Amino acid sequence: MAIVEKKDTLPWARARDRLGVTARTLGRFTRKKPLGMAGAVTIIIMGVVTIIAPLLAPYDPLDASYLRSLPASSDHWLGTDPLGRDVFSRVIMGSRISMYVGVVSVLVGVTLGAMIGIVTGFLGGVVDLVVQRFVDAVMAFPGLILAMAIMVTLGQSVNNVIFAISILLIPGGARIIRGSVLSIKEQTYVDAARAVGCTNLRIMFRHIFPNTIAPYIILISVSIGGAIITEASLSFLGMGAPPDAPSWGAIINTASKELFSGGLGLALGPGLAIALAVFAFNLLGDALRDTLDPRLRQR
Amino acid sequence: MVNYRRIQRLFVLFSLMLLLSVIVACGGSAPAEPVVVEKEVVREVIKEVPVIKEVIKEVPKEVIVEKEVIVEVVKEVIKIVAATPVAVATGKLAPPPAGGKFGGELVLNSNPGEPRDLDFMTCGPGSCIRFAAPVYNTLVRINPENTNEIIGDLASTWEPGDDGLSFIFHLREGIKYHNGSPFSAADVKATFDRSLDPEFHSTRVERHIKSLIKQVDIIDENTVRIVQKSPGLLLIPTLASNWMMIVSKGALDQGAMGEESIGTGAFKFVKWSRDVDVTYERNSDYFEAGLPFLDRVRIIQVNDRATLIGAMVSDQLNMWISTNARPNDIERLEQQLGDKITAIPFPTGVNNTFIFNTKREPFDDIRVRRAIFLALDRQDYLEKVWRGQGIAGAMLDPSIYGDVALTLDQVNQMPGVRQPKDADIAEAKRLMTEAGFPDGFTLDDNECLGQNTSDGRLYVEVPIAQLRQVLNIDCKIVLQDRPAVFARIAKGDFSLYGHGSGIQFKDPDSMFGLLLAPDAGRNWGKWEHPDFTKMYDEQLTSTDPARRRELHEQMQRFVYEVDTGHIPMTWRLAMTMVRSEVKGWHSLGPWFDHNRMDRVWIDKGS
Amino acid sequence: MYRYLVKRVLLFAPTALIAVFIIFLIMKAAPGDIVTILVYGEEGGSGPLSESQALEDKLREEFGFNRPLVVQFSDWIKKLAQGDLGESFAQRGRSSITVIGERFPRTLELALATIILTFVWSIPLGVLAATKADTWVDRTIQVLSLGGLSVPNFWVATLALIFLAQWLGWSPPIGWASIVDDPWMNIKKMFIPVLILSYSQGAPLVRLTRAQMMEVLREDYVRTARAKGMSEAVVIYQHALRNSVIPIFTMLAWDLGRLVNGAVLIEVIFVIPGMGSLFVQAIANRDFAVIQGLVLINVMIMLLINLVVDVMYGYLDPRIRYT
Repeated sequence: MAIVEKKDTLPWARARDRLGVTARTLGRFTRKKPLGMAGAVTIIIMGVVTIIAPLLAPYDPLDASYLRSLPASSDHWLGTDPLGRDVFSRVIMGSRISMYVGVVSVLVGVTLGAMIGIVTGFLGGVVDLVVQRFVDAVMAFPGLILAMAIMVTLGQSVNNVIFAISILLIPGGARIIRGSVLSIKEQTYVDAARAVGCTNLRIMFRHIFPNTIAPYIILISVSIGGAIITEASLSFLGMGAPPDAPSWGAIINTASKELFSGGLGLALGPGLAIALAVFAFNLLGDALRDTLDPRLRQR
Repeated sequence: MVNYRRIQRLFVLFSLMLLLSVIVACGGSAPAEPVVVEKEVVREVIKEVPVIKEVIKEVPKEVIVEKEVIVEVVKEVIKIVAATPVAVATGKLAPPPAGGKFGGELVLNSNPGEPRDLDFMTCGPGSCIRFAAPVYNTLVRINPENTNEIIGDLASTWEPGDDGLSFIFHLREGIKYHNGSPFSAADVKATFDRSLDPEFHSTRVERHIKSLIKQVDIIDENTVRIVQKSPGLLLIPTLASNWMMIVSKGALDQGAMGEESIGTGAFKFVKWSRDVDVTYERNSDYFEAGLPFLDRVRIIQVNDRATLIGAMVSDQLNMWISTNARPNDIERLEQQLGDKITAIPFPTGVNNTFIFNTKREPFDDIRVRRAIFLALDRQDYLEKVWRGQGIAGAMLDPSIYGDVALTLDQVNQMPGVRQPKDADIAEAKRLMTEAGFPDGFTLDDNECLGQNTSDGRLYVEVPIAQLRQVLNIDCKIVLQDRPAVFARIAKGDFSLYGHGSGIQFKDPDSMFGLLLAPDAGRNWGKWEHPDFTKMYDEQLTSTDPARRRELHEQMQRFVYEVDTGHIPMTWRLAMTMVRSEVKGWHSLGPWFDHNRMDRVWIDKGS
Repeated sequence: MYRYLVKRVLLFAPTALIAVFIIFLIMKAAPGDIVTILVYGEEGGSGPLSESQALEDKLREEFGFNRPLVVQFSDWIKKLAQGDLGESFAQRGRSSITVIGERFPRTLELALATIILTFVWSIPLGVLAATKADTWVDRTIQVLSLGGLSVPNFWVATLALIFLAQWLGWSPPIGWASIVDDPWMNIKKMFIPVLILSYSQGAPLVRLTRAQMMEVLREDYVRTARAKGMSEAVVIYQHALRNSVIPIFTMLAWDLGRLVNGAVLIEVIFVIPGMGSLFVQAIANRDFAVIQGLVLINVMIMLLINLVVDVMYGYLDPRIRYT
């Protein structure tokens, strides 16, 4: 081992190193998977838009002056909806609901599912059998219906939507992570760890868990697109975010009720937003899946 | 509660008056027009010559034989226009409209809902009788060509009975049910007996039948007597409503009311495809010769406005009786179809009110209620919720209730309704300050309730927005679906609610008794005021139509000037969109009277 | 093999019942129920308010809502064992089997038509993309299929309806006729929903086919077949595709299951009276018998399809054997 110079241990040198490594990794990623990078960049841009949305929206999305549905104009870039609200503002502010719900519900749901997967996969036996029945049951459920039933019971709010969609994602997380835990469990180093006397908990944390990170990240990135669409579907049916909230699905619902007199902006705006977001997440998810673990490509 | 003894005395007097005025005015043969008289109270002391007329009927009750009686009668002459026609039957059926052509299928949409089954008597929603209307008849009906008149349907003539409480109906002969069995007085009795049975429950029919009718007697095969609980003028108009359709005793006995629809009407029920459509075909044995014109009627059960507009444009639908079509829908249809479509407005009987829960602070304080009453802008509400299609601020819609209602001019002078609102708003602010809320107040979460439909939520969002702006009253609005909302308002778990509902009969009691009376079915805010209750009780039991009208007027004024539990906001005017080939349809008033279609025809040539 | 099958089938029942129990609990917790709808009706009750509470109590007693939840549920199971799924609240006098049974063929028609159409266009496209890998053909197909995944089908449906209404003045027929009663009307009503559903079902299938084919085309035996002089078509369809069939088949089966469960959004938008729209209505009406019946049927179908797929796996792929 080379003699480490005092200078190299200074914090900023370490940081600089880390930055270099990160930059190089990103550079490699961009070259190998340009589409994935494009997806990532889009997501970041949309994320920024979500955060600064109130600054970007020219009108208050809830300001219903109850005028007619106006076509696109220089005042209203995407026109207004039948209640007189500016569509562009609603789409921009809608990202705060749709994107937020999509991302958070996946984080919550897949994480919970992964935890369940690790525990049951590792412990096996009766626990595994019983929990798996519940997982199977929820998985066999028509997802949208379960979410609708939950929303009807809990009432309509953004947090409840997040809750409902997370429930839908738990089984997927549990299944996949459990699957990889099962295969990791067979590896020799786990036996070795046991032989050495590690407790179950320690094995779970130190050996199993790190090896599930890859599938976990992939699962998250490929699930977000679906979660956004599920949220939009719920809002479209009127069972998602509160009725007035400018969720993208709700705006499409308004467009579908005004087939004859609705402006085109009303129908195109929110749909393109959804498509863009989901597309970007899918691109990123695909790229991550290819880089991180080719073994997990769908078979 | 009804006090028979007290009233009976008054009623003998009244029945004499009625009998005498009818005889004096008509000279024996029934007129074909309503009794239309002046509004001034004319005091006349009339010395009447006693009418000695032995009324001989095979009635096991007392026979009233008028003896020599000299009565000083104060004849109050009342003007009744529209609403409560008291005409006695013509005996003749109104002839079929001229120019009617036979054949064709009418495809219509009439604000659908799916009833639970075919038994309209146990049903609550209006959708039930819309299903049943083509199939059955009532004893009397509103004349489609003159809505001020009530003519006979199953009954050819009728007259008041001599006990002053009953009416005797002479039924037409030779009427058959769709399954061939003959119609007779037994069917009428069976129909009403079912509703009068204390074990029978229906959210609609029951309320009016049980409070109005004491019993129904068969006099002979073609004569039936309906005895009211108290004298009054409500029976005939009530019986003219579609809710009072007469069913078959045979069907009742078999208990098949839910699965079958067998009536005497112009159309026979064919099939009900749940959530899709209901079909009927012509009854070629219909008792009115020359009717109906149509071969088939099909009612489409679609609720989606966009789909219905598309269907009208593409000629799949010839008639759309809608209470939720927007002005721009109508414009769009007129644009696309031009001459081929007519929009016929009609008053729906659907009204919106804004309710407080008087059991919750601060709405238990009359000053706060009054302030809100004064501050709300009904015209703005009408514009925003219904795009101006309707009337604002009225407690009773004059086009439905007729002269009993305050005129629109009068309503527009009332506090709360009058424009500009400066004086009212100032007063409202003053009251708020007096009540201890100079800067308004904010309600906790979850207290302002509305239904989560696109219309339903405007009923609560628009007033709250107004209150926020004017009085600084703020509230977080919660929108839930129907069962959840009903569960909450029934329990009183709300502070403010935007309400919409339809009336059932053309009598002011259909508003007062439903919304404002102490234990009224929709008085969810549990509002009470002793002065109002006194007036309400009196009008309920009053035998004097003039006094009743006076009370009704006072009660309306009370709502505007003193206090109320439901703030009347709007009455909705709706549209029937009819394609030009459909002829002969008329609006009859409250919209559940519209589905009979017996006088409608299709003329493709025009 | 048989032991495996039996084990799986035995697990159907508990899984399905757990699913139904979950929905039962959720709906019981929902505010409002059929009693509130009946008493307060579409436009609120008419009787005196004080009597409404008594009426509510009486109805609740009649419906058996006051019993403990476990009792109510086990009652349902007992009836189920006798083949009775309960009576619908919203459609009085009709058993929920009748109600669901009426709707089932319509959704089945939608599902089958969609699957067949999807099969017809997506697999060849996936094969095409794989064989022409990294060309513009491939890239276009990839983008289009990724688009199909990313675009919500109810949006496409809305756009299609708007386009048809505003530019062509056409709208789908109202009402419903089965393919037997009025085939032309049925086709007019169904063809757009089927097209749209097929697009969103087909997109992932294209990607999957492409991925599978690309893997398989790299295998040695393909090279051998080509070296032997076999035509490209034979190589692709006889050798390569057959070996990729398993995951494709899995996905198709999974899709069929999901479709049969009712493409809820499409049925609602196009006003198709199928199982999906029944679900939405039943939830709004708190119609327990229908909801539970639907969930039971749906879950059983999914489990069955899963089982069939797994068995076919074992049958088709000699490398997989179940103990």
